[in-house]
Amino acid sequence: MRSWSEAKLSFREERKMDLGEKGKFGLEKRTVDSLNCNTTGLTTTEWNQIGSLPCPSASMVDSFGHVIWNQLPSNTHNLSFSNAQATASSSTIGKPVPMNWNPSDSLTKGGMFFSTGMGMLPLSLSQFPCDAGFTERAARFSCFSDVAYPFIVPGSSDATAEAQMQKNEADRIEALKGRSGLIDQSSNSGSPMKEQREKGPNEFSEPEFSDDARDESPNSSKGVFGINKRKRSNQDMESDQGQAAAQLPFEAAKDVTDNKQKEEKNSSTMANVKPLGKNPKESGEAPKEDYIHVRARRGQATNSHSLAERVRREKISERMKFLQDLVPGCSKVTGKAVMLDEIINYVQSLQRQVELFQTRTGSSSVIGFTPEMIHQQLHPPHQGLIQVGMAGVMNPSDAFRRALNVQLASTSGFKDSTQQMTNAWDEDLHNVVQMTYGNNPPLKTQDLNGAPRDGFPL
Amino acid sequence: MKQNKNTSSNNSPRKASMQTYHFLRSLTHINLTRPSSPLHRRSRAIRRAAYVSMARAASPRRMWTRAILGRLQLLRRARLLRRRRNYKKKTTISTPHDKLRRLVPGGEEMDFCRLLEETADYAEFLSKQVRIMRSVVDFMEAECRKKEEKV
Repeated sequence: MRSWSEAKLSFREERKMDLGEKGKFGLEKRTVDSLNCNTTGLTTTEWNQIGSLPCPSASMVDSFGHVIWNQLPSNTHNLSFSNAQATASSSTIGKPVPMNWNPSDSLTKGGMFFSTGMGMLPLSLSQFPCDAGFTERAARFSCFSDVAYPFIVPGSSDATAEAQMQKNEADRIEALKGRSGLIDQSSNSGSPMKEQREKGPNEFSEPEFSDDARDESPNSSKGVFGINKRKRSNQDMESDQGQAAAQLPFEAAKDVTDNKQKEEKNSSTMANVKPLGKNPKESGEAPKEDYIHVRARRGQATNSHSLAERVRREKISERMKFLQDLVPGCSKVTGKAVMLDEIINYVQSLQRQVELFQTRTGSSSVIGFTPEMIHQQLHPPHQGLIQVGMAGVMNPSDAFRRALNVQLASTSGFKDSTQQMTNAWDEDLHNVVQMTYGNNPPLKTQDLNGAPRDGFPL
Repeated sequence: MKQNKNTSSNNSPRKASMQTYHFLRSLTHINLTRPSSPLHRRSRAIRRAAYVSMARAASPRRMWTRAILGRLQLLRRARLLRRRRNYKKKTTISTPHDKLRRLVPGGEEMDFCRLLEETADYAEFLSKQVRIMRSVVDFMEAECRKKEEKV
């Protein structure tokens, strides 16, 4: 929801900004931006309908709003048509509201943040058309309409009523997520302002949560259904926008519940591994899910043992395939037994090679490694070429490491790659070895130099 | 200069480099501590170093890794206690996978499925190790040759 995220971002920027810093220019810009980001399909007609939401608190709002709206500059002229109703709806809508009404709180308290308050309001209002969350909330608000109205106490003070509305809205969001039941609407805490402020940051996460909850709510699926039903039934509060919004969560919830029901229906679940072409028939209904459960395929025994065996066999064949790729020269070989022999041979050859190299290393290491702890600075190696003479072990290690990294990154196949690597190694090493080691080579290396190299086709 | 050594030896970001690093470090250790020991012992030590560096570079979740490192610890303890422990060979039902089980360290007690997995991993690291060793040997032999030429 692009507009949603934008709205959130802009809202967050607001929060971070000092209240006193907001200028009208910034607000104007933001209003323009937010109005331009009207991508969620909320047209001005819908906006009008929001405005036309019957709100018995209009009187209250008017009493409150006119104080603010009188001072509003002309930049809100396009919103002025629905000022009263907008404020009412804004008061009910959760996300930007708490922040909006913080200045309103201060306004009621002492009117200190008056300028910022009026700055805030048009921003919040302009956010509504492109606020996807707004639609949700409108829907939710509509669904809670029977419960919603009681909170609008005509006699109560403006701020407290709005605070209560916001609080109720926030609570409603929570209820939608299945966290809690319906709130006690009549609970009018002594300091609703502060609660608003606290819920301000919560409101950030809650809309996100609500989105998530809508999409993947296994817990609250029933609750969502119930709410959707209520949405359907409540016609008095429903505008077209509300209906549209209601449909969205309804469909989403329905998808969720459908999936859930599908999962519940599956007594035996899907096998995600395909056989080696043995069983082409598969039951078409089975959804492909990456679970460990296995579903009995059509035409196969449904015995639990055979199922497990089949899974095991498929795993084994999968791994054999992988090994086939790993071991060079085994692409043509088919069958487990032959493959197995090849693998055994390969591992044996590798181990033999290690043994061979260990003796060679043992003998030749007398020369190279003992005297050196002279370390020279390693230049950052170009691709495999290490120009610095490496005396110590750590330098060779780095050189090896880097060269190895280079080689390993570039090599793909086996047979040629290692040969190439070793050839490259020879070059590199000859480039590398510029230092005199100072020790005379032992006799055995001369013997080993004559030893035949390993002809293992790696 | 020593700082260079430290800094250059400490950055080992990748797995292959880890293996190399471990191996070379153990090689130096071998050569420094016992330069005058007979060849067969050193070669055995090098072999051990090779496998241990392999195991260190690999994921410890692997069975063969744990087997190798366990064997190493066993050896150390045996050396300390001056006792030789006999590896108990489990009498298993002869399967076609016996050979493979014997080859792969820690392969005795795995089911075949797991064995294949471990084999793949083990073969991968083993081949890396062979590459490392080959390059080390080539490097050192080249050095020897150069020294001979200079001498």
